[in-house]
Amino acid sequence: MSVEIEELAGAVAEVVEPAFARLADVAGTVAAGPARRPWAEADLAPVRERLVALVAEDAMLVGLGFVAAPGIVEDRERYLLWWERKDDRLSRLRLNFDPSSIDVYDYLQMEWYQEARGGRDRVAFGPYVDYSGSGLYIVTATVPVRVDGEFVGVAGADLVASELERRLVTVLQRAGRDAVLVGPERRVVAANTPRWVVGTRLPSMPVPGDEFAAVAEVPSGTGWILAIGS
Amino acid sequence: MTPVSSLSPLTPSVTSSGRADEVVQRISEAINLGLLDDGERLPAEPELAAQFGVAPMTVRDALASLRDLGLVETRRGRSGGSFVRRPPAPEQEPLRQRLAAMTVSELRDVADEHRAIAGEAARLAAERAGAVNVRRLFGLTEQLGTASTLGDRIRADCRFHIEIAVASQSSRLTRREVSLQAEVSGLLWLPVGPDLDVAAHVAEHHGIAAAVVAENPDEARRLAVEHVDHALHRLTSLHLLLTSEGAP
Repeated sequence: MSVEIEELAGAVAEVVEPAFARLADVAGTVAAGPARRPWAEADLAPVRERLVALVAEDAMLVGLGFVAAPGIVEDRERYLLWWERKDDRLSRLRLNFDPSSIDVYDYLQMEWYQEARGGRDRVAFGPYVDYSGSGLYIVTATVPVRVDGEFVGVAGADLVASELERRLVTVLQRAGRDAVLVGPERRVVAANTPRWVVGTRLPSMPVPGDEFAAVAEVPSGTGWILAIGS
Repeated sequence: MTPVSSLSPLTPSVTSSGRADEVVQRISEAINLGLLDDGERLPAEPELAAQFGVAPMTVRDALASLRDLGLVETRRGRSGGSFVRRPPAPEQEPLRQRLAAMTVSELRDVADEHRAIAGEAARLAAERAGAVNVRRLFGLTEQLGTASTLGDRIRADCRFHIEIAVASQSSRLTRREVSLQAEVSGLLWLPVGPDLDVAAHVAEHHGIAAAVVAENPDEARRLAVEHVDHALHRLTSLHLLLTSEGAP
């Protein structure tokens, strides 16, 4: 059983690996920017080009971008270079950053930003209803962007929950037994059984015992836990 | 917020009723309530026509009216299109007229639907909300109390209820809640008759948020339903006031 669950956990990680590979690509492109800072918007032209190319590569990706830490882009307290893909049409996402406004989109408060800033190398937040951003049910994946060890922002990708679910459930169905994938918020990301409902939160993180026969960390770096039901 | 997703919940279910003035009403409410951001680009005409189930010509007429109302600005060229221009507060006269034209039974029916949606959203939110939802709920409750303009107050009110639905993890409940907020909240805050008791309204939001954070689904639902009942009470009295003889 333990070999089996490790294998399965590895296969789950493979589902999100391409997204994180693209985020590493974005992060690398950002980090290759001019040594002098703050950056001008024009300095990010290569990033823009890279984002537009990468976001079209995978149907699961509905958004991709670079989200700058304050003071990194000149004269911009908040700066988002983000592309959305909808029905094969790309558009730049524009959000309200006016702090005096009720509708302000303050990404500094978002988990996917804070976790990456706080030292986690890979974040997968959600699934959640992204009312302020894409309007979709998504998982947001992020990685920190660092230049010479200094945090300059995050590279992020919005993964549409429907397609992510299809791919994860395909893997989980190989378990042959009840299997559930749980995120660090104790939120069910996917399951191969109606026993656990996607989007709900478990009372506690799974540990081997009465309810779960085996539990393994998914080697995706996102804090996801794979559990096999007893 | 993508224009498409923020407009789609407002699409009328009966397409035959999709006349230009209904499109105008839906879009202007979405703008006033902050469901469409200031400066946001509206979808192209054919897309809007598809969303509202009306002819492209009807959309063109609606956009012309919205331009006349100063709610939309049209720019030409490659990066052109129709862009939202949000006024500081919603126009009150159309809201008064709409509330006066409704019936008490219609108001009750809207509230019936709202009880179902908001009550269940609150119940699920208490089971499913994450830390970020909870922070936002308390933040929006505070903003409702400190808002200095009517427009901000309405937006903080709306956003609170939408955040409850977001915390429920349901896209569909969120769409329904957005639609109900667009329909109701402008009317609720109409400065007609006795002022809406802001402190009591804030206290009710606080109560719902507290039940969500306490992971108490039954209490969250009860308070959310009660909140809708209070809104129905106010809307009914305002309606009766507006339709009584010597109406203000």
